[in-house]
Amino acid sequence: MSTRRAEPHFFDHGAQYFTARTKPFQQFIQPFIEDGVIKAWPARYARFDDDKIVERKDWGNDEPRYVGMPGMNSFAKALSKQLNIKFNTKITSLEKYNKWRLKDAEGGIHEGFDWVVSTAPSPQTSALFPDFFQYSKDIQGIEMRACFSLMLGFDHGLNLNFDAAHIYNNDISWLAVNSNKPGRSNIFSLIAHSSEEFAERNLERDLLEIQEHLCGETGRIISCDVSIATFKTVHRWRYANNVERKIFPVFLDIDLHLAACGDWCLGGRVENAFVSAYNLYKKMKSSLDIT
Amino acid sequence: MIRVAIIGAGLSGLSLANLLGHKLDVTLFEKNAQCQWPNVYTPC
Repeated sequence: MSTRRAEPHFFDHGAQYFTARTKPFQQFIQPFIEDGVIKAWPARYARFDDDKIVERKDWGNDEPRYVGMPGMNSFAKALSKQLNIKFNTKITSLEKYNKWRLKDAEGGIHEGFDWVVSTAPSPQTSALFPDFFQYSKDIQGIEMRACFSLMLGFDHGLNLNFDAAHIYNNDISWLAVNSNKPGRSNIFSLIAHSSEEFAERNLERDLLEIQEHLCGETGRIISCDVSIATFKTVHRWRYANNVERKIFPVFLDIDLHLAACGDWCLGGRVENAFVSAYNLYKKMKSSLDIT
Repeated sequence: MIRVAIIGAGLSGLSLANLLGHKLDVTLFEKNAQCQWPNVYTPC
């Protein structure tokens, strides 16, 4: 859950919102809703076929779509309180003696771990874990697709008749007025996500060319020249979506004391990032006999 | 106490750490999760 600051503009350039359809996740987020860290987004929703609106919905009268307050990263920040987190530490290899020893990109050694759990995307988990990990082949087979996120900040508001939109049959797949989410600054900001297909075809292309193309498509969809934006940038998410929405069992190797979880284990979606962790927790709890 | 390393501090890592936190000694390593979102908008 990421928020980019480009003051006076703010952009949730990763996850846009999330739903809570399972009881454990509903119970997990409830205290954060009560504390105002999470709020439902009653957006005016539209579904586009290319540049034509084919459906409208009021999310205020629909299944709640939640956002972090005042940014999507606020939920992650709240969750990180009182945890022992080593920031800016990229683990590059694992080694087993009687326990696990982790090596980071700067050459630092972190040792004495009984268990290692990877929540990194499948290609990164695959690269880190040994081939003899029980679920190695399963994880190697989980392919992920990229996505580009276009951020546009304006001096004045554009007159749009929606806050959030899915776009079909276009190189853009999602558009949202970020500044219309609850608790955001009212300085107009727009976010667009590319389609997975476009991202795959153009993964290594120059980011300025990507930005120009996505600006053009965005402008065409909303019938507005977005080149007047005073802030423009594009971000590439290399591992954004699963290619297949496949559901895997819990990746827990009791013998090696290695495990993996993440939304990619359950086909994607923010809620599944939690559900995957929750499933692993339940299995670890019974395996380790902890109450 | 059992020591657990969690690689990646996205929602999965943070959730797992919160669930295990008071039962085990958990350390998260933040840099690995090249954030797999924004798949939330995928229609489902």
